Amino acid sequence: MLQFYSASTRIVNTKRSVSECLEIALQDVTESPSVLLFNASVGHDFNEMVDYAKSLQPNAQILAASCCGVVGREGVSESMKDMALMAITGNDFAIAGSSQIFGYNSYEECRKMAIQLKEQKEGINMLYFLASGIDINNTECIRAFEEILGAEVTIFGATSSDNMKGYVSYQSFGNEVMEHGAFALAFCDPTLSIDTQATHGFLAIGEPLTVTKSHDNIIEELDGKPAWPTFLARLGLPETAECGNSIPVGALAEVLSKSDAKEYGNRHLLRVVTKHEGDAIFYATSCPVGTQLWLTVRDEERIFTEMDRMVNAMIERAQGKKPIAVFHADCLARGRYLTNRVLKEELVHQMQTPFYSDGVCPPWLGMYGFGEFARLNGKNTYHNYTTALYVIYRD
Amino acid sequence: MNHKNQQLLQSAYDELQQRVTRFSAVEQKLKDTQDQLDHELSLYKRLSHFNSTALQLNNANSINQLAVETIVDILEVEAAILCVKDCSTGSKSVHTEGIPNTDITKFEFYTVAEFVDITDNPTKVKFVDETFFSQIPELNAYAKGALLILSDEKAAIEIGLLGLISKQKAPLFRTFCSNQETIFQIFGQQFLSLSSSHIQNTKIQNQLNEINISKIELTKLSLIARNTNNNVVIANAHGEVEWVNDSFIKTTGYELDEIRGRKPKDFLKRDVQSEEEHNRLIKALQEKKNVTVELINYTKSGVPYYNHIEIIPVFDDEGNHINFISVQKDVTHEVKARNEILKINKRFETIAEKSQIGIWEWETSTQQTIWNSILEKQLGITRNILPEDFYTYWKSCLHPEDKYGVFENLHDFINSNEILLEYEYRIIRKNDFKIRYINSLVIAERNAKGEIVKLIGSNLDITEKHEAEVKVENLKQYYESLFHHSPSQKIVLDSQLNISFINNSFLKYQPEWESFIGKNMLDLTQQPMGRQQLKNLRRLVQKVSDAIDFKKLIHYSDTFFTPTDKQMYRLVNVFPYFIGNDLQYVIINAVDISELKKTQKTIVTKNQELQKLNNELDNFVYRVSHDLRGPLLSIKGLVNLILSVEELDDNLQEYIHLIDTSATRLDGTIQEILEFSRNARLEIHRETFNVREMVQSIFDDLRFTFEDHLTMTYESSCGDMIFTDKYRLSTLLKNIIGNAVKYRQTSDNESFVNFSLAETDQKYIITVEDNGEGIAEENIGKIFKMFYRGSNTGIGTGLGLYICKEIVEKLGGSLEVVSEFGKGSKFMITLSKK
Repeated sequence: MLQFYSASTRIVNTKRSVSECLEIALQDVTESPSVLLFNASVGHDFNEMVDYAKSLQPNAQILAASCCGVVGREGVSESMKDMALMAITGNDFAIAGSSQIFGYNSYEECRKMAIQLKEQKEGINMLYFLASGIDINNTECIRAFEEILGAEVTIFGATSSDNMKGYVSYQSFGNEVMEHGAFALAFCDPTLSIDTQATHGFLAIGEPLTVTKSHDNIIEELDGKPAWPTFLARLGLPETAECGNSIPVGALAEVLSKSDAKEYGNRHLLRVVTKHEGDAIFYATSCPVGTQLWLTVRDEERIFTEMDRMVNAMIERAQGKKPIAVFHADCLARGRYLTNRVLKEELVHQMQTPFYSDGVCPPWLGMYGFGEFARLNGKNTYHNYTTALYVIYRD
Repeated sequence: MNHKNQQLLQSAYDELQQRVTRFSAVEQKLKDTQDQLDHELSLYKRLSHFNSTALQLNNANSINQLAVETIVDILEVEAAILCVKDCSTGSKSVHTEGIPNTDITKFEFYTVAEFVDITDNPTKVKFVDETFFSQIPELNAYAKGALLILSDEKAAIEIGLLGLISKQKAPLFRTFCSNQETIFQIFGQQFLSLSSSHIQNTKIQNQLNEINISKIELTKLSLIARNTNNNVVIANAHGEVEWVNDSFIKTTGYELDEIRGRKPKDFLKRDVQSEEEHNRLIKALQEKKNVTVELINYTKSGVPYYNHIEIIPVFDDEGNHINFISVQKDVTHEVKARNEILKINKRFETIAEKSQIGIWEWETSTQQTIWNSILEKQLGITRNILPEDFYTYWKSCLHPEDKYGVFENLHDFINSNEILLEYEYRIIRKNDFKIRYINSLVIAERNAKGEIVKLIGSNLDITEKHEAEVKVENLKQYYESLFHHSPSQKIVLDSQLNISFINNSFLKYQPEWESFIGKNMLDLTQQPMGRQQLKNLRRLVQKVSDAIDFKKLIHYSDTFFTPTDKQMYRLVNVFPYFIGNDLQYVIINAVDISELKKTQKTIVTKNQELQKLNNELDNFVYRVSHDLRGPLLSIKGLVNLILSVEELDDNLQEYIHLIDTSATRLDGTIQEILEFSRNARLEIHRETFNVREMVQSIFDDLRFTFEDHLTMTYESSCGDMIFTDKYRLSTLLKNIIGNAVKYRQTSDNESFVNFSLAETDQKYIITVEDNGEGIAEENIGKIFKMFYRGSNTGIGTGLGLYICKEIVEKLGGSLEVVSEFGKGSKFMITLSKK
């Protein structure tokens, strides 16, 4: 039976940061953890972090991902030296990883991981997936996992990021630190269930851009013109702008079906551009010709109300059950680049408080990354620019 | 709506689209600005956090570590280095954060500062780039940095702060801006102020501590002076007593009032003693220097004692000499004990010298060694060596191949709790560069923690012993090799009868014995083995036991089966080697005699066959001779009948004579063949008889065969009775004497044949001498050969002397002749009495 324990800190020194996370998370735990799942800002030395964690807990498997900031039960932190930990005890899990995952091989690599997971354990009922957020085709990832594990297995997690530069992101699995890696942590504890939902609160505006030339997740032309300059021109950004400049304002929206839109509270699903090569845009999912992409604007009020709506819906679905752990993925564009610190902390408080049990926040591991996985209308879906919560209950 | 209006409308709509989206970008810029302000506030909060945390820390290292982490935090850089220099002592403290695998001592800030132009404003933040870092090898992985160097002259402190961003991660970090410069500058000043006050506080605290310690020390010293068992005298600058403690009064018997104002030498010293010590004391007192001497002083009652005196001159703050403090101790017992030790040491040194043992002693506290002259000879020391240099010198003498082992031995010994180490090594003697073998014994003196206080060692040159051992070993190998290559089978047992060696020849036939090496011979009978093998083994054990008991070589033979099931015979020698009564070892040597056995068997068979053939031949000769003689005697009888007829004409008569002569001669031959056959066929039958009678009878028979004069004599020096084969002696003498008669000098009237008999303990000696024709020298070697005839004119058969020779050999004697042609012969017969 799996048990979850969390901690977060923003100590500058990497080793002391690891020590403190372990001390806080495992202060009352007698059992050795079997998995240590770290989220950390890119200012930390990932090799040092993984090696030191391994030296302190040699029996645990270490998983780690970089991000733009962390959210723990201690609150939000968005600096170059943040670290958050979810320590897991028990053995009802399986782990697989890939050291080289890109847009072109997303399906094959995820399929391999899914097969490895299935070979390790039976009864997988949920999957925490974390991959590099730069050049990846997430719809293909979902397709591969569902093919092997079944569509009923909930995929949750995020794509790792840097501090919104779109330069590099780190993942660690099997004591190696990678820049284009991924790992999948599958749970097969039959006593656990998961509820996921995502929300963004953005509004699509104006006329859409139409994809006129593309393959897989790479868009070459929009409205018959080179994709990247067209995209920048619509955003009013100079030609020299990079992804780091476009991410906060450049959320692209795809229209949803009516039924999906109803649950989502929005007619559009958002997508982020984390990479461009020349005029080609690297989209986060497959993007066939003919796809219409709207530009969007943020609506602060809507963001707050939609957050309320999502949390209330989840609480309602829980029917009084209290979560034993919450995983959380937030888009980095929703952090300090979206709202000021006060509002952001309020927003996080608003999402955490309803899940408290006797005034205590459940173990919480959140990150500001490039993208989020959450079910939408019963289907595993990849999102961007959202807040996604993955609430785990013991039945 | 016309087309133009439609176009305008579309254009306005597009413009609107862009304005809306561009508004987002503008809005984002505002958000960014807001974020920057917000973020700046966060940085100041971090700075504030540093101040509040640092003030709670007492330890300089903790403050410095917090500071270096704060540089990373407030500058939002990847790594940082901080250096604090205490100018009053010159000591530096360097701290780093985020620099992987570094030796922090490399980062000497004041070296780094040399590359930056800080002349215009030395206390201002400097932003540096790759050009700067390329000049510093330790930092060439960095692309950007912010450097700040500050100092506080009053506090005598300098600090250096450097925030760093690597080339690899530079795209992830913000470019340095003026806000960072400001906050870094503020941080630097705060840290400098904090460090200054911390150092000042530490110094004040240290001074307070020192004062406290001084007070405590003073109190303690006062107590010690009063209560110590040592004698304490405080004198003024002229050496006159001002104060003495109770111990002094107790030792000397003088009260303070008696001696106040007097100089100690005036009442403690009576005899002139060690001039050298005395002069040293005087000189030190005159020069106002510390001195320690040992003198013989006297108590008030006149009892002498050895006084160990330490005199310390005391000066005031201005350097004026004000007092002497003298701490004295009655060391009479120690001196006596020391003298006793010196005597023992002297004896010990004599023993060491006589035994040629090199002795050394090394003390941890001084790192110095003392050694004796024998050790100098052993090492071939040719120059003066300082006590602290001896160890280095000794190391240089070690044989290169043994150095590592020696150091390892010593290292292990020093780090153990052992007190004794014995080991051997080689040195190359310095004066003649000869390799010498040394046996070294080291004894350790350890303190309560087990640490070495002193090492005492003895070195014995065992080169000759070693060489002898090598020779013995070589000899052993040589003999083992010999033994191994020997065709005979060999086993060597040690003095305890353990099997120490079995050679290859033995193992070839009995390979299972290889497992017996090292085992005791007596225990082997308990080993499982075949019946024959066990029988052989028991017999061998018995023979070994006998050989040891009787201390002599024992032979026996046994038989065994080889691994190929071939039966083999061997002759086994068991040889016990003793030195005095101590058994050293037993050598068992077995020779394969299978072939010999086989040959013996063949010879026996052949002999038997030959015997049978001989018997058959003898029988045949006897029968033939016997059967021939009958008709021959008939012929002779008939010839005599014919000759008795008178009317035979002359010719016929001559022919008949010729027939008679030939028949007689043939008869002689047949008789001699019969004699020969008898001698070969018949068993020896010894008996006692009178030889005079036998010889006389032979003389009588021969007397009728000649007509001329011949003197025949008999003489004996031992009586006439003789014990031998009568028949054979008779045949022998008939032949010898018969020949003497037959070949006498007919022209000489003085012819003689002399017989003489003598004896010894073992044999009879018979001599037959004549003055007959003699034998030509060239024929002497031939006369005993079968059918040799010395003269064609004679009627001999050529068998007589051959039969004589055969008889003599049969009777275990000899037959020799000395002869000179024309002068006579002398036959000498010896016969064994047994």
